[in-house]
Amino acid sequence: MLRASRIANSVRLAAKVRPTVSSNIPIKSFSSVSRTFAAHQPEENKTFQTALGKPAQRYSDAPGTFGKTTFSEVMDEVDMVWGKDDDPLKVAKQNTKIRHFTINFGPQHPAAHGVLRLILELHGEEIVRADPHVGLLHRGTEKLIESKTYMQALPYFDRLDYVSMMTNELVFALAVEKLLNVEVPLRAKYIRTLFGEITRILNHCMSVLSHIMDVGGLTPFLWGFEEREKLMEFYERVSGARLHSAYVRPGGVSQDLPVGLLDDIYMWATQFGDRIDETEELVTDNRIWKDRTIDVGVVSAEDALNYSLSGVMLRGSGIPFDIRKSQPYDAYDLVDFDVAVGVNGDCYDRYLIRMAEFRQSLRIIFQCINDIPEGPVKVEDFKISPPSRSLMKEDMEALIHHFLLFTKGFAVPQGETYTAIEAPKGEMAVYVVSDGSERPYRCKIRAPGFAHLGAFDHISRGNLLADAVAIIGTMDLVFGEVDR
Amino acid sequence: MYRISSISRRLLSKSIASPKFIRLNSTVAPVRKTSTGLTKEELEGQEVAKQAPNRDLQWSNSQESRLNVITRHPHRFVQRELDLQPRPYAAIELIAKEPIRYLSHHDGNIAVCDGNRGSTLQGHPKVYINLDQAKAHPCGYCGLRYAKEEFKEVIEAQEA
Amino acid sequence: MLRQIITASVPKQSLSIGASTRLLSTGSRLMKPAATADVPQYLTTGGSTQSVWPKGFRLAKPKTWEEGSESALSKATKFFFLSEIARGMYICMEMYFRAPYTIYYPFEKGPISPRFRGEHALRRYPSGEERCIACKLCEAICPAQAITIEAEERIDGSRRTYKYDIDMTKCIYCGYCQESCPVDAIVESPNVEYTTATREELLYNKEKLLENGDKWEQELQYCIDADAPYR
Repeated sequence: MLRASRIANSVRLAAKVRPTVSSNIPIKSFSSVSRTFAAHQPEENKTFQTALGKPAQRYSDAPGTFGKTTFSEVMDEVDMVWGKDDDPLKVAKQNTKIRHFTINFGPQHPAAHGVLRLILELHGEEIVRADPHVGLLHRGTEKLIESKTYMQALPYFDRLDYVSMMTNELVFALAVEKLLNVEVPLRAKYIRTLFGEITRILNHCMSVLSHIMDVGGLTPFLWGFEEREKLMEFYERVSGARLHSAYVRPGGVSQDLPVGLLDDIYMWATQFGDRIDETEELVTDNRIWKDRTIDVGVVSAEDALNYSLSGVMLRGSGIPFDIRKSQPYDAYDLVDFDVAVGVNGDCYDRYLIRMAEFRQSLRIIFQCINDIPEGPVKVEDFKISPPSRSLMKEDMEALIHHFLLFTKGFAVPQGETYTAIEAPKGEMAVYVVSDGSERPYRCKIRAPGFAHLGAFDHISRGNLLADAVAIIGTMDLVFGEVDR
Repeated sequence: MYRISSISRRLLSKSIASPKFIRLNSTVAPVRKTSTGLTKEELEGQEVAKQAPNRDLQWSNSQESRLNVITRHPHRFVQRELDLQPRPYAAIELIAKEPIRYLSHHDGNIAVCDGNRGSTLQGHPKVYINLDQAKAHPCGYCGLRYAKEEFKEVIEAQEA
Repeated sequence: MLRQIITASVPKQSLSIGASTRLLSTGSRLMKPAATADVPQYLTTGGSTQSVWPKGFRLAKPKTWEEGSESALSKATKFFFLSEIARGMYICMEMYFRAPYTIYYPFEKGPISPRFRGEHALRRYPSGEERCIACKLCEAICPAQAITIEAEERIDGSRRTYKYDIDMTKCIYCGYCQESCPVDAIVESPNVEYTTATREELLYNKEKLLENGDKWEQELQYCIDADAPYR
């Protein structure tokens, strides 16, 4: 009895309050009670325009047959009308607004692939906004390079993308050689190609398998790391260090391959196909893997081009672009290989592309081992690359060149160049500006991971939290290059 | 418990009591002090204070004497074994023991030194030393001394 | 001879029953390639005339459930009996019976080549004289500026250093000092087991480096002998 009267009272109160409020301001009615009593004013369809006069950006396509199923679509509608805020006149409503749950997918996270601070605004499990904060590994590489000679700057490039070392050195070496206008001998090109593909396998072993580990399959990761150990043994035999080799230099390669190395690489390559097969057996057809990665992180081709994604991210969306084919460097025009291109643009396709790239790299390695010619491994100009030690101890001119190269360095003619290669992660490039002296005036490094992370917000909207992990894994982020 | 504590009290009183008596009566007070063992006086004659196993003093004017280094920074060497600190042989003594290489008359005036390179190229850049003067000419890189045969007696007389 | 075959990936499998309807929209997911119609030879991607799509580039339309060659029974069998997961487990079982790769450090160690770059050492000539002649090439080339040298004429007149410090905490172990030394004085030995308890012990001075050299001379000799033909 009392309750009924109380309800009746509240209705009467609402009815009293309503007419004064509904005079001028359009109301979005939310409760059925108010709807019955409110004079439903048709709202003026006020679309939000940015400062440039463009409408607000949509993050999802127009809702389909089932109406708005994801919260991104709801938010899009709100954004189209009110911009990033709700109606600023409805202060009372704003104060009762439910805010999204913001979590810090923080720097210390095993799946964050290094130091990535990713601030995710979640609506339940669905990602509404993602905000990556980078810079936790920033080491001032480009600034430090400005005060070093070209030879001293080389170890910086090793340490950029620290899972694929020789390709970083390669991009710098190619850029400086372009400025110097020298051509390295054929043997050096073959060695660089061989080790470039070994580096590609190293990188994909790391990225694909740690992606699998992040998604949940812990086993292939360790299998792949044994393969990495074998490859790092090759690195060490050729340069002296397992990881940061400082081997590929402007002017060629620092030392020739030791005797017996090619045989060992061949023996490794014959068994590596089986290792890839083992991992594929475990993962590719697996229903859990397919559920986790198909239709996750879908990137349309148009978006991929607009966000300057490159490498596997681009090829996964159907754009057949590979710098090794379109602008061949080193010996890539002398070896025969295919480029895998995806169809759907989701994580599963990118995974399949990387698996195919493993096999193509293996193909290139076999061809390099078979075709590598005899010859010098450095440009024979002593003004650029140092003479051999025996010559340096005999010949006065060689000694003087040795001395000048190791103190002053070689002078590079004035000019600037943007040189890009198909690094395992995408398009890695360096823009070297030289002022004619022995030190680079400016080295701007274009890292593929940086662009991929920039597109993360766009790609991950509408996906769930667990998919954020899958998307980070498929973007191949290594923070040495993202932060430099 | 009571009994043990009384025993310990008596022992304590004994130990505290005795030095007091001695101090009151004596004029010379042997002060017992502790030391790190790293002062100049304590290290002076020891083996570890010598610059090298085969040489006592420094071999360069600005070179810091080992004794000075240890005594100036004793905090670095406390709780460390001094004879385990690196103390390599002095090269100056070792090269002085190397015999002078005499070149016969038909070898000419100029000695070629490349540090005994051998097949594995581990010498130094080749230098050509003019042997006109009557003394032992050391190679700038490796310190081996060369002289002409004819000056042998003169040089040996000088060294003696 | 360049053969540019651009292979396409495996067409998307039919969605399993557990797939969610998370598809944002199936509308404009792919930019429709212009190769549907007759593509003129100059239409390219990536700015290169090499990557022209060959004939038959376009994938066949994925088969619907009624056109597919796999029978319902076979699909049901795979679904209920977890066939691909069983295959994966078989692989894992194979790995179980293989010899493990683990080595029992410190009793077994991994392989090392003569070029390996580890702890630094200062070498001597066979006569006992130090090799280092204070030319400061290593100090100049060190990218991390970890080497500090001060030199003076020795009492017997030869040119030597009286201070040669390598800050092992700054050193990046690149091997440039070894490459630059004209007399093979500073080298990197294959030793990596030189951990210390304090940080100060890692700032090596000349005595420490020379002693290293004396201790490791045999190994260094072997490494340099093996690598000398390549340097």
